[in-house]
Amino acid sequence: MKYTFCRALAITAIVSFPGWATAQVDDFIEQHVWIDLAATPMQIEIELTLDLGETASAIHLATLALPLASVDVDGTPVGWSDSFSDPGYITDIALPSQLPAGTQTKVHMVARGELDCASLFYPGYQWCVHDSHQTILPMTSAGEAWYLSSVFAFDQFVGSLTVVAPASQDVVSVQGTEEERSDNGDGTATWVFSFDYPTDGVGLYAGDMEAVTSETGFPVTGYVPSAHVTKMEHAVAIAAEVLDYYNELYTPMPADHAYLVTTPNSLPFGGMGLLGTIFLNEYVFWDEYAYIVEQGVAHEFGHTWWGHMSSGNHPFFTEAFAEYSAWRAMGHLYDDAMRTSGSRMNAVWYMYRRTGNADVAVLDPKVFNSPAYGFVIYHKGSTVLRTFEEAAGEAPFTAALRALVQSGPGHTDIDKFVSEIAASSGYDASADVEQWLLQPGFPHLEVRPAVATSATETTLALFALTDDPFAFNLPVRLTFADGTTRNESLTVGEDGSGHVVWGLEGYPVLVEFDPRWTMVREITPGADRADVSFDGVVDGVDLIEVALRQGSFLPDERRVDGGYDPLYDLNGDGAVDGDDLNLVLAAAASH
Amino acid sequence: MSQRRYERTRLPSRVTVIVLLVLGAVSGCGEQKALSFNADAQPSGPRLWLQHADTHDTRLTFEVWAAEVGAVLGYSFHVRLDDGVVTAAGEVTPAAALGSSSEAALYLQSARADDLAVGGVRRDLGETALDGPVLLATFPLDVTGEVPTPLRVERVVFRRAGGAFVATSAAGGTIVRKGGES
Ligand SMILES: [Zn+2]
Repeated sequence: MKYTFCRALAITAIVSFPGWATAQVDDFIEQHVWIDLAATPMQIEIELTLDLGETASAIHLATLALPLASVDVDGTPVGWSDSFSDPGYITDIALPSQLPAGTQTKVHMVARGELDCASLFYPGYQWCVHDSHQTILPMTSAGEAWYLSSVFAFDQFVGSLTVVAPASQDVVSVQGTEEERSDNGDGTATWVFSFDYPTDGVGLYAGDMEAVTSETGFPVTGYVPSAHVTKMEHAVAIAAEVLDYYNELYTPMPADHAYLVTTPNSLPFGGMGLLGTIFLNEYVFWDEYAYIVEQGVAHEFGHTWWGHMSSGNHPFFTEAFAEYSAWRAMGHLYDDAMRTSGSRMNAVWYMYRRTGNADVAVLDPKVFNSPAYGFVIYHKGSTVLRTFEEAAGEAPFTAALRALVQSGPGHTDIDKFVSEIAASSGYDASADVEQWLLQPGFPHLEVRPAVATSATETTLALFALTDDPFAFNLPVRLTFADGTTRNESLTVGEDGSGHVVWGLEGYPVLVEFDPRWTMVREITPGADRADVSFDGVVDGVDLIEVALRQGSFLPDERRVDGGYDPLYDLNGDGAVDGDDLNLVLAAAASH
Repeated sequence: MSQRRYERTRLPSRVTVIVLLVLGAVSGCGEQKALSFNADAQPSGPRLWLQHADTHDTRLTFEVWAAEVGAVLGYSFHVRLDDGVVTAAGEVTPAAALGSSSEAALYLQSARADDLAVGGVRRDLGETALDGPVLLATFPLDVTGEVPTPLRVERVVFRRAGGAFVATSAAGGTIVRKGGES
């Protein structure tokens, strides 16, 4: 089982093709698809208009999930063959003659036969479903394609989808325009979806699963097997609130109804977010995966804005942004502590659970082939966005994100990201891009506190040191015995050190660094490991602080929040428990 | 070998010095007044205070009490003293205010020269009502110098389940010699 949440796993397939690096890709302009689900055998007809990226005598398109019956280019029948370099994934379509780059070409194809859903890229899994009860066609994937999308780049197009389905089935697809349904009087109905908002992510569901619609908030309908109706009701309620939040935060999506479709466990992904429609694997509704439902819904619907309404040339702009948005939404629905828990969970999963301890920069081209891919793109990437938010300020950062969305799909890159942040906040993020996104790793910081009291004043001095090449402002929260707090920050400079002295009205019994987990970082008390409150002495506050984290653990599974913060795991065994509490008692008694 | 011989010869002379000091003190002051404790006025509301329990010659035993704090997960406080005048005469003994078994609660104690620290926390992260008065700790001090000398209670922290802080007042006091000090 792959516990992945994604915009489309096809992305990982894309980059494995040799053509990725060199080919001048064709530009998809418009695509119309007709699919007859009621016919035996099934038939799909596609009309694609594209501009040739380079002078060519053939074009290379994703191989469909059912056999081609005929292909013509600009009205001339042509031949086709399985790709030599990527057999099974790519089909080479012969052009009637060599055509120069920039030529607009119309490819028309008819495919007919048994739908072969066996996934080439994920052996043992199905990429689609087609039986008498339902048809589920996720975003197209080379080898199991049902519409055409570029296998070499994110490339959006406009167009339409016409579906003939059994009249008893509900049909959900694409975003945007009102679907039009007409009864054919022969036990079938025809549904027409047209999309003016450019996309390369089209999904299709036609079936008779139970439908659950939100009662308040944004209109959302979920389709689910009857066994999981109660859980879908919750998922739909969360989605309705999350979508209201995203609409307000970023820009309203071009759809007035959203859909959530349950996919069988035989599909290889946990979730897939399209524009206004998401697919969730049914295992998400199993009791043992209850923790995934809300974050999964929030992440996948985040892709409406990050991956569809906007997108860039790198999965950072889809996955990291969707994950960042998910926890921002969760914080909005619940409280700031909920947001912090997600941020911490992501940071911890990246810092301590990377496969083989591999690491690579988020924007390093090698990230695609690294075992650290998921850790870096989803978990570090989303936390780094939180870091940028902290540096720019919440409102200006939001304004920058809104500008990215409004620039539309395909236009986001790191330079634009930096310039939008600068425009809205005045903060030049270049250096932070350099250290957080273009180099691997994270800072391990040691902080030594010293408190001095006199009759008139208490001073707190902090000395911070890291060997890692990071410079940053660390938020610091001081708490006094009566519970009052004071927010400060500690600057760690280019030389890896930071030093501050604050005059205070009282003794700071608890000093917390980055309490909202705005960055990937490890912070350790430098003088006495048990002084987790960083006030220079091991006392009852340290005992309470560790006790409050009892039972937290470093999870073995992605997206499980073990509540883990390494600061409180004194013996570093991956669990905060009685052994750590005893270390606090021993450290105190040793004085 | 020579080290041991050296220590053996030094021991009697240390005893002699202490005896001479005590004799000197008695002869200097005439009749010695008993050591005692002037407690600061007890505040109202959630509070913690020092109480003098016992005196044996120069050793005074103190208790730390709390009242009206409400339900708490745990607590922490420090007693600061002038280590030129008083010294901790043994372990600080936390009372089992939050539960008596180590499964129920853990208690921390720390005795530095000028700082005694006590803490406690419930293991189950639940709460115990400290409406009191409830004894939190006992500690003995030896007076080795000139009084009066203050005992200050500082950094008094009570926290509810979940970690919220409870604002609390605290009262310390002054070790004195009973019967009118100049
Ligand atoms: Zn995703």
